[in-house]
Amino acid sequence: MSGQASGPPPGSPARALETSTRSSPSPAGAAEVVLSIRALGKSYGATFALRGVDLEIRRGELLTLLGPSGSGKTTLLKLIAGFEAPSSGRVLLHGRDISRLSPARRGLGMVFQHYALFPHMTVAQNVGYGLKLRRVARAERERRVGEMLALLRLDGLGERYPRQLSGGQQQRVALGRALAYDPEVILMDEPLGALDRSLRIELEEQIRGVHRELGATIVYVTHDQREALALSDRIAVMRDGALAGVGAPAELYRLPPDGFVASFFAAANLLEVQAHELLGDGRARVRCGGCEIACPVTAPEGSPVALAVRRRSLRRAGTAGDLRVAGVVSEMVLLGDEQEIALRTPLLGRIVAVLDERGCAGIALGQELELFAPAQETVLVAAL
Amino acid sequence: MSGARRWPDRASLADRLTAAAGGAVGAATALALLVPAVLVAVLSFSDDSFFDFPPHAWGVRQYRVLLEDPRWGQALWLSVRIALPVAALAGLVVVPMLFAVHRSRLPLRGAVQVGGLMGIVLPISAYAVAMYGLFAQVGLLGSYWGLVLAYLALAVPVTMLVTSAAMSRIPVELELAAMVAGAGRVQAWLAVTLRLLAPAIAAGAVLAFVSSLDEAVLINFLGGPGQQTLPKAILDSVRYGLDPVITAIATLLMLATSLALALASRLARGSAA
Repeated sequence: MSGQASGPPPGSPARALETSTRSSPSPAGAAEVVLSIRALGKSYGATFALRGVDLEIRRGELLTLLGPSGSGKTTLLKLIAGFEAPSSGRVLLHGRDISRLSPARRGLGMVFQHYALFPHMTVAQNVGYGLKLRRVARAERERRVGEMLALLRLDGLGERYPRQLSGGQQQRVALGRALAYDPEVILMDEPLGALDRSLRIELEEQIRGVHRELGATIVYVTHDQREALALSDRIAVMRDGALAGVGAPAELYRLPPDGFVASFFAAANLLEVQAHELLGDGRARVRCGGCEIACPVTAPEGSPVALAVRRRSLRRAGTAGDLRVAGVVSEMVLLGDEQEIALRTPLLGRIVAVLDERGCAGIALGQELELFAPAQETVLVAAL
Repeated sequence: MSGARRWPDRASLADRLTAAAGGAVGAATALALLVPAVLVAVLSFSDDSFFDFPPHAWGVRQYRVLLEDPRWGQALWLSVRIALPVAALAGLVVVPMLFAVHRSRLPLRGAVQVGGLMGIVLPISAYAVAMYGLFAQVGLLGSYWGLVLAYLALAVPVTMLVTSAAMSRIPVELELAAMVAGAGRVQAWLAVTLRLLAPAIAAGAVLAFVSSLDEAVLINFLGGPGQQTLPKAILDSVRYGLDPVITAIATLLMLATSLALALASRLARGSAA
């Protein structure tokens, strides 16, 4: 594995050949840093698209940049790819500053939202394009392309042209084109964005498989938190050109660092807090809507706070020490096995809960309802 | 019957009237364009040595005369000798213009685009007068390369119009994808964008060829005594008395340009795929 890091430079043919020998992804924590982003900023005139982002991507991990449109995730990806030059900061690949190199000399791979396959080349030529540019011998190239087509279940389609393929197949070809020359890092810009739902899930599966089998290091951009949860080893949530929080999905989900991550990523309710006191052991005593609870806290001392309560944490029965909210049922949406219910409360405004549908008998619009959330599942976060 | 129920009837009557009027105008236009063309083609098979309709005898006399008289062949040859380099140069000149307009952030790219299309809206006679003054200054009047240059200036906008439309259909991501995979910027332009643009450039060159083959105004201002292009020869022959040979020339010219335009539109469509 260390041979990879000190091996030949990304542009050389030898690199492209040693792919399949790469070991399976190493467990998080022990892995070396492949890509390091240091105080990276980008401004267009007076507007900032990216404000000094610091981020490290480890070997073999799939890191998702998640954020609403305009949050800077695509700008960050463009700066890593080299399509634009940063206004400040650096991008390091194995410690080497690549922020002024042309995209060609960075040795990365990329998958675009709208496939961007070369329409005048066959599937096999598309997949083999990077190898051809690296002057890999023809026989080796064909072997490698065959390997990719088999991996992506595109066997027998090598002589077709992109326009003869379905959207899902085209995106698999694009994936093969990015993987074929075994780049250090593969960048994916909303690769499932142009596909319909069932294809999205199928291709998601395939990306996970590729990631697992080849141990590829992937930076993945999306605005879809479900997709991010399904794919990522780590997620970096972005907002207004800065990182709002970075962590493993479960960690970010359970202990969001601030109100934005809680509401955007975990779709949590943010409740107004009347008074709070940090207890010093990662917990806080909080008065909220008439009850007092002891809950985990991620807000730094002195910042304005809110209580994040996830929709599925709310239920109809509770015990002492739970958060209790009461109000009038104002909306009901059946989601299948679950029922989404909005409460209008006098003290805390609108609260949305998702309940097991079987437990919802007897709930009707306009009715008074009381819901409980275990204090352990609520988090005191820095307010927006 | 209520008023509300009468609405659809009224609307459909108006629709039908509009459609009928549209059809009539379309038919009249087609007729006005086609009738003279067909008439000329029919007349070209008259065996008479003077204009008359209907012809006294049918035959291929006009085509025989056309082949026997070296003046027409020479005129055609000069026209082709001018149109070919114009077509080639228009195809070449347009490439850097396209990249400047579509792929650069040059502050002047708007000006390049407007300038590139200016020739289409400029009245040709005004342009001819201006060119005459300019060419007289630099001594290009009556020269072969002067004509090539003037026709090129007329042809570039046409070529630009066709290729620009094709260029805007080529997503910039294709170049980015090539560059990430290891291609330099110029290599990405050549191997991907220019390759995809090639059919449209060929179509544009065909249009440039046709536009200078047919040109009959500029030649009267800029041409010298020995420079008889085909359109000029036709014009002169009409001016000094009607020679029915021109019906044969016109027929052949119409045929050739129709074929060329069909080819061009085929090429342009090919590049869209």
